[in-house]
Amino acid sequence: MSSRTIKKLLLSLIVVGIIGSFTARGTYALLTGEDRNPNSQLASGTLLMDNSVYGGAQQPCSSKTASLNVNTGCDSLFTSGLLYPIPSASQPPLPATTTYVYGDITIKNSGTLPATLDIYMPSCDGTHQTSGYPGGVSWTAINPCGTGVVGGTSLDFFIQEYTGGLPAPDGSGVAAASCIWPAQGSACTLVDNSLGDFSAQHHDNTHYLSLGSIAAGASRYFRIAVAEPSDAANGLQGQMATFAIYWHME
Amino acid sequence: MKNLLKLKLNASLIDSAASHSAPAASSEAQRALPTTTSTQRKHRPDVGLKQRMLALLAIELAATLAAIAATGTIHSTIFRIAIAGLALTVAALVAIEALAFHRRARVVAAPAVTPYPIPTPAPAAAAAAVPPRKVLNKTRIGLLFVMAIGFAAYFGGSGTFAGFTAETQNPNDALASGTLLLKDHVTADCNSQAGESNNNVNANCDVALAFGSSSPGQEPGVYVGTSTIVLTNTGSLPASKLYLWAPYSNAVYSGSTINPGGTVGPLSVYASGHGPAGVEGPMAAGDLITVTSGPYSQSFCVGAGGVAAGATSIPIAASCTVASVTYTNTATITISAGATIQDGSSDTTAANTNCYDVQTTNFGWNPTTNNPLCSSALLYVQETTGGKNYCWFGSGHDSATGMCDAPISAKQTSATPTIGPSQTYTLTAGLTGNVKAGDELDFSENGNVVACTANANTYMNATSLATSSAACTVKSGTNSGFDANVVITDKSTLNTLASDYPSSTDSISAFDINRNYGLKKELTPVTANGTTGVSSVDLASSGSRTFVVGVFIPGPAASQNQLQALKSTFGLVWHIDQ
Repeated sequence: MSSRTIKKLLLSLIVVGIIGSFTARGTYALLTGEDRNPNSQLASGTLLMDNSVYGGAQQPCSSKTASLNVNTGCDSLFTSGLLYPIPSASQPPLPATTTYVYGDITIKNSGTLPATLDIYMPSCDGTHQTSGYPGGVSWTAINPCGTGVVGGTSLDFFIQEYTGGLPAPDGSGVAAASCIWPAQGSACTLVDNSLGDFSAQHHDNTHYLSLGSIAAGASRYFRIAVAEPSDAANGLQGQMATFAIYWHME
Repeated sequence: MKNLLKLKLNASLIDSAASHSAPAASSEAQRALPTTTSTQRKHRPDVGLKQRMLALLAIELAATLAAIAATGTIHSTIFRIAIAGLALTVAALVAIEALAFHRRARVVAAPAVTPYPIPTPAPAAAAAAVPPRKVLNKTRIGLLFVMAIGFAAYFGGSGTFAGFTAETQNPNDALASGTLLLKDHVTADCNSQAGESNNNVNANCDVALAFGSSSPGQEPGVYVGTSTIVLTNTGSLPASKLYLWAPYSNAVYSGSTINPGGTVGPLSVYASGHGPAGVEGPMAAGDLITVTSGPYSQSFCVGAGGVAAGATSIPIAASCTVASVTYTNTATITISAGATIQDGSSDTTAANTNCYDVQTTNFGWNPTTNNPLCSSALLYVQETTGGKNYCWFGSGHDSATGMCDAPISAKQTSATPTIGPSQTYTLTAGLTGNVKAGDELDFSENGNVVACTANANTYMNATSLATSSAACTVKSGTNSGFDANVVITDKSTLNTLASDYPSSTDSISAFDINRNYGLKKELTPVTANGTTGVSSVDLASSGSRTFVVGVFIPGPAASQNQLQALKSTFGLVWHIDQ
């Protein structure tokens, strides 16, 4: 073998070595052992709410059917006619519907996770009625969503929870579990300005009213009522309150 | 091997001597004849040639047979004895012939004693008729004798003839390879050597974290759970390296054997019972996958359309070129069921990680694009070997305390109606996470929540928690009515984890992207809490190391509804090198 050939071979080996040093990035251990733990799994649960207004069109109105689990299109609790002041601060059930309007609603946790249930009123707007508002009045209009500080008392509002289902229109049939708002005993009474007070205190998701826990699959039953106080001033005449109620689970 | 070399040298000498000396001897003998006629001189060379050829053949045969015997190829005593006899016979004949030659030479050299007259040719004619004399000289004869002695010594004289001898022997020298085997224990032993791929890789160890049930499923901000994995080097050799890495998208081949030369069509993979359930992670068209079966590996390209995570068949491209190298679908190795398949092109973005999401319920607003649960859920790996802690991955990794930010959910063993400062609460089970001194501990039961301050660093597996002397505060309800059902959480850790969202470093997706094979983490020995360093041995033979692995969905203030009804699936790889 000529020296020239030997030189070629040696140079080739050097080149191979250099290439190997740059391109071979693997591990060269001769002995290895390896175990793998596949199929680790983490599943998120669900937190879904069904909102069913008694007599409403949506039975139920589900959070999951709307974008990102927030359904803004559920039924209204009620659309009242004209209200008259209640004869007295009597306790429900009240007699004439002309002095009292309410809606019954069932809230169900239809997800797999337990949750806490919150409620708040993001808006309560008092305006003149578009029709029937008397002209040339001498009194100052009272905001029906007000807190009674200016002009006189505002609307009464309560949230009554029942156990095991919704009551009959007169409130019979199921037990009144607790009066959520205004915070009272098991049965609610009508309290002046309680609509405005609720809106002022619980108007967003950081100022909500906690209704406590609701287990996965469980339902809770509420009656929400509004009345014109017995001592309503004339300033409440021809006024209209428009509000929304948000139910929130987390 | 030394004797053989000598013998070959002798054989060469035989050949050399025979080819030159035999004809010389013959011509000497021819020249020693007292009288000769021209006819006789014409025939004698023919006869001599035959004799020489026969002699050469005999010597050559003896030498060849001796060489064969010397190699030890034929293990027959009879054969060896026969060859020895043949060799000695040849040597004896050579010796006899040599002696005879010398006698004839002396006769030729002493004409005075010739008993009968010899016609003497004219000097010039004699010089023309008789070829130049070639003498079988002493050197050649000596070489022939040495050759003969060599034969005899080889076949007959295997012993030593010295009067005094000394000898030592080192018999039974042996060389055995060691073993490097890894045992992984979660709920059962899983041994690397039992892997179906027949290359000391077991892809079918226990599921480490089994929180995949969608009912009820996990929720953000709430402790999920952990798993303890014990790794043991069950081999005889120390492992210089112990690694943890995130697997690439991978699967285990389930089809029939493909032999070299065969066409590799769609690769069917196991759906259960042999490792990953289907393909663990997506594989895109054109991705380079490596199939490993026994000691051999071969790369292929994923075919058109790629394959979604969880699928049970991987399309293979007939041919493709990656980085100037062409890969075809013709097997060059034997691919058997159990072979592992890995997609080295994966684990680069959240969309192609080994961790993948599927919907348990499709709400329309919980898509799996870019695997949002994998990207949100936090993973942590903390070593607890011998009570020495080190956070290898996750929030708090490499901290001086050795603590990961690992949430706790504990209960006390006995009723303590009122929660207060400077108290020690005995736990019903070892602590599932870590508590740092000064952390806020919340005691919650039936809507009552009391917050106290942790007295000291308390590590995983601790059996008690102590509050500091700082006053506790009532966060909700009253400080009363607490019993053994009180739940103790570390609010400070939960807040830390809530702020780690979305995490580019601590999520499961981040683990896949930042700690895949190419970026694997060596788990050097831990010498004290939060202390580790370079060592020549990461896992000694028969040594064990213990790791706690946990997952957690952080609970930031922002809504995470898009994470509902999703399930993440992922794997872990533990690896040792010699």
